[in-house]
Amino acid sequence: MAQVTLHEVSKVFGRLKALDRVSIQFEDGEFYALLGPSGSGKTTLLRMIAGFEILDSGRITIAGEPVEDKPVEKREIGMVFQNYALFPNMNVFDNVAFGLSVRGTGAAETKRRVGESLELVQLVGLDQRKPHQLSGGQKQRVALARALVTRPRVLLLDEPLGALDKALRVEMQIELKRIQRNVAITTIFVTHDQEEALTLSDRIGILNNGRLVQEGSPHEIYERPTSAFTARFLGDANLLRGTVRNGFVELADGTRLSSAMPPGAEGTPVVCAVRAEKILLESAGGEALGQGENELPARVISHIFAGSSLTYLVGWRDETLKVHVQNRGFEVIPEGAAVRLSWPTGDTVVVQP
Amino acid sequence: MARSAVAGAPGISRSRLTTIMVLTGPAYIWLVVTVLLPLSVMLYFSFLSDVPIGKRVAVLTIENYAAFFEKDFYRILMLRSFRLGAEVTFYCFLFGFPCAYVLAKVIKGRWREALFLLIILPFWSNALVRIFSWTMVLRGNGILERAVNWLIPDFGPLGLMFTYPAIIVGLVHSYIPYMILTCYISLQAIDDHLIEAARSLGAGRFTVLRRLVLPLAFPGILAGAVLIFVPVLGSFMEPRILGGRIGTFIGTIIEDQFTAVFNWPLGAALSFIMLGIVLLILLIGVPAVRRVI
Amino acid sequence: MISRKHIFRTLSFFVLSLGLLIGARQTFAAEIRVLNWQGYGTDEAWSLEAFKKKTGIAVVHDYFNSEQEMLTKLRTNPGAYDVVLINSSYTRQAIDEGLIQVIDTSGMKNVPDLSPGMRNNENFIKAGKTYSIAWVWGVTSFAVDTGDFKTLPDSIEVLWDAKYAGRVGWRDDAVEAVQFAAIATGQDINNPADFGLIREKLRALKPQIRTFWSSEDEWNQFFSSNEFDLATYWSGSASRSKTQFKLPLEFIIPKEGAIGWLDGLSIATGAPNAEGARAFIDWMIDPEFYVEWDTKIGAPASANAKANAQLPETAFNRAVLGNPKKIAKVQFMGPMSGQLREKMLELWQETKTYMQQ
Repeated sequence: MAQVTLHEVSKVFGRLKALDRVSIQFEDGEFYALLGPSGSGKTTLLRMIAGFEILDSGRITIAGEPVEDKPVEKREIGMVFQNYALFPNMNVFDNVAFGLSVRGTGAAETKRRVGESLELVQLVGLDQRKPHQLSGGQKQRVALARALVTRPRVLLLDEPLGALDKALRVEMQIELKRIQRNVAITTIFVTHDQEEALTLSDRIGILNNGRLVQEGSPHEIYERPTSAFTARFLGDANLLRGTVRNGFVELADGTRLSSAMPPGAEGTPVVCAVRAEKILLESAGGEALGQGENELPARVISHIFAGSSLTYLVGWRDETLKVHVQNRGFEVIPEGAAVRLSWPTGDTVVVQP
Repeated sequence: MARSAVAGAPGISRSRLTTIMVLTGPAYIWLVVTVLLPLSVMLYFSFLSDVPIGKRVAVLTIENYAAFFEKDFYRILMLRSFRLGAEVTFYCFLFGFPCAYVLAKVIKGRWREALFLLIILPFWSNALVRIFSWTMVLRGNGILERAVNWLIPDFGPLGLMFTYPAIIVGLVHSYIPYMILTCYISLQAIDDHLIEAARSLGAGRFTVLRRLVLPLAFPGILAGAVLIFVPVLGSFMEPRILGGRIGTFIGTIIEDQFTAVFNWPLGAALSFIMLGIVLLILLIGVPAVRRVI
Repeated sequence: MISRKHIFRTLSFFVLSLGLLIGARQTFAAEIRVLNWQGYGTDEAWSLEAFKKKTGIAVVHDYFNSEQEMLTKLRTNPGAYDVVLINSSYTRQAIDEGLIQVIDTSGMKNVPDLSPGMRNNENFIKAGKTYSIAWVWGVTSFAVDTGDFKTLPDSIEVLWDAKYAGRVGWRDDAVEAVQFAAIATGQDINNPADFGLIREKLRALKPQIRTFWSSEDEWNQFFSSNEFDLATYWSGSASRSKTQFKLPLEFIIPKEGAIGWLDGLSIATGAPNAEGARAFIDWMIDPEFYVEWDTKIGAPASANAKANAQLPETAFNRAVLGNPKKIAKVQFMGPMSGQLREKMLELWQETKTYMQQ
């Protein structure tokens, strides 16, 4: 049974359509990431589920009951904010115990559950500290413990790792995943960081300009983007425009690309997306390719050395394409050299422009 | 920049120090000359038998302080003044805090500026003028009485003038902007996310107020309370004009020592006794309240 | 970077200019400085203009709000004032403290016309020398609203009459309050013998008083908004309230007597322009000035009998205060020791506290 459902939810701010008929079904216990650029409406959506924003039209249900008219404090949610929002006038224990004290939980029970919660986030022994005496990572854990102690029905996270540095962020991502698995609570996570979304979530919903563009498992979305936007947003994709001719996609210079997907009706303009890491880069004039391969001639413009990988920027006609090459110790192909790009037809994805 | 061996100021260069002193110097000199010096002189006077001007002879004595304990009416009036101060501060908080809250958290944009202006408006007028306008409203056959009698014919006199409530009304009106402004500053510094977090944990509006907003706004409330309590303690003009026969407070007595007789030592002693009590209240009261909150 | 030399230069500049400003004020020729209550005759614009035309001397004023303030200003600012107004009950003190100087009355043409009793008031003369010129006098008693009194009262006891409970206005001044009680209990106002009686009499005022007033303006306001039916008041102010503000009042000098006061003009010790001061004082007791002052604005009675006689017949100052029978029982305020004043103040403060409970 789905825990949280959004049905045709819309919100308008003045003349701006913040959300346009968004419908999502969040499964019980799943980790769902709302991903999108700033202004896509993902935070508005989250806040609407929490109850801080009121929808203009549509329905929201939690555990089957509609909650549009329920005030925030009655929705039984747990929320973690980007700047943690720890109560500065209380110590760690009181912060975490807050939700329980509001419900009138007894002292002994409170102590036990707070202890449990802090153990869960691996933050034992800091009970008496005040928020300003904690590090960023510690604050993050306290915020999480505080949100979970009341055993809410849904856990909402608003870009919670945004304020942490890279190393800490990665560490916290792992932690978050572990905790979520442990508690098995429906978790809705807002982020603009695609890597984070791909790492953590069971499913991802991509939002752009208030619309839900695509939804699916990380693997699905990554390998099979349905639009140019999605393809570009996740990882590095090269977009090639062409027209459908005899089941192939014919590019402007006549090159034919074949795709494992049906390209569409004859004569329609389409866009093909090819991920940068799927392309094989060789010096021009190599062996002929097999059946299931597409190829493109290009010239090296420059390269970017990123330690474990190398990114070549190559020019084909007047476009710049990207190719990721794993660092296997091969010699760097010099600028200006003629090269051949090749990739399997299965990796040619036809997307909406 | 030349590094100097200025003790306790690691790394501050000489020129920087000079700049700091020149910029803050005037303010400190001003404070010393206009506040510290006169107060010290007065403290000294309070231990003298007479003002040492001209041919007068003065000896050191604690008579002036003793007088406070000898005569009943000093103590009675001091207590009355403290009660007045406490009541006015309380009402200023009761009406001022919600107003500050609405301004800080509820109203946005242009309206906020407009409302601010209205609040500070009393400050634009002279205190005496404000008090006299209150007499026009409160007195017999004044604006209020006439309005009531127009609404409810033959209601008769309201009897508000020259009463204790009239004094409270006048003083609260004069001093409430202080409370509103200090509370506003504290309140708008409270991150909205904190309140949202509390609500997300199940706290209703009242709980949020009690456990989060009030404790965090406490510095502002305290500042406002001090700004109001201390002047009201010493006030004599408003109580006199609005209170008439019952409008005598410790401020009047102290003023009399300087204007009706030439007994500055007694006036000074009474003032410092008052100061001592206020400091005591702050010393004991503030930590006590902090602990509760 | 701000150098020390720069700071020193800026400071010296300020100090110098300040010095020049102060010095400049001192050396301003043809000017006198007068210290008085505000709006009390010496600062009438038309009179100052006439004086300047006659003598070429400009008049600058400074004001005080209480006698103690006046004395403090003299004590702490020697050489800052030329003419100062001092009530006769404080003149002796001012002489003893060396705050005012001897006045050479030769050449002051109006001085011979002063009523002898006032001119030679014992407070103004010391060791045969004159320290103060009697200027104006008046009576402190009470005024009643003619609308509330069909027949005018003739006894001071009306202030304690239960019929007017809560309808009496009173001036918040310790000495004045004690002196009213003294008159009501038949005692000497400058040295009451029985303070116990005074205390009782003052406490008996508790149900009577509606509010205290402290200035003429306040008195007028309260009277016209009908806060009190009768109130203590000064004769000069009563005359003004009646003439200028047309208030329906009558000033009463009861049979038990009233408090008389006499104001004199003195010249401060170290006055920069003693000559100009003498000329000004002479102008203040001149009938030309006085008659205009009383008829147009309202004033206390002049110590210059000749000036008083030049008033219109119905003028209060001439009709009432010029009538020896009426003022037979008036007791004039005299000097009081600091201790006596403090004793009176304590008694009054105690009474006011009692009145609140």
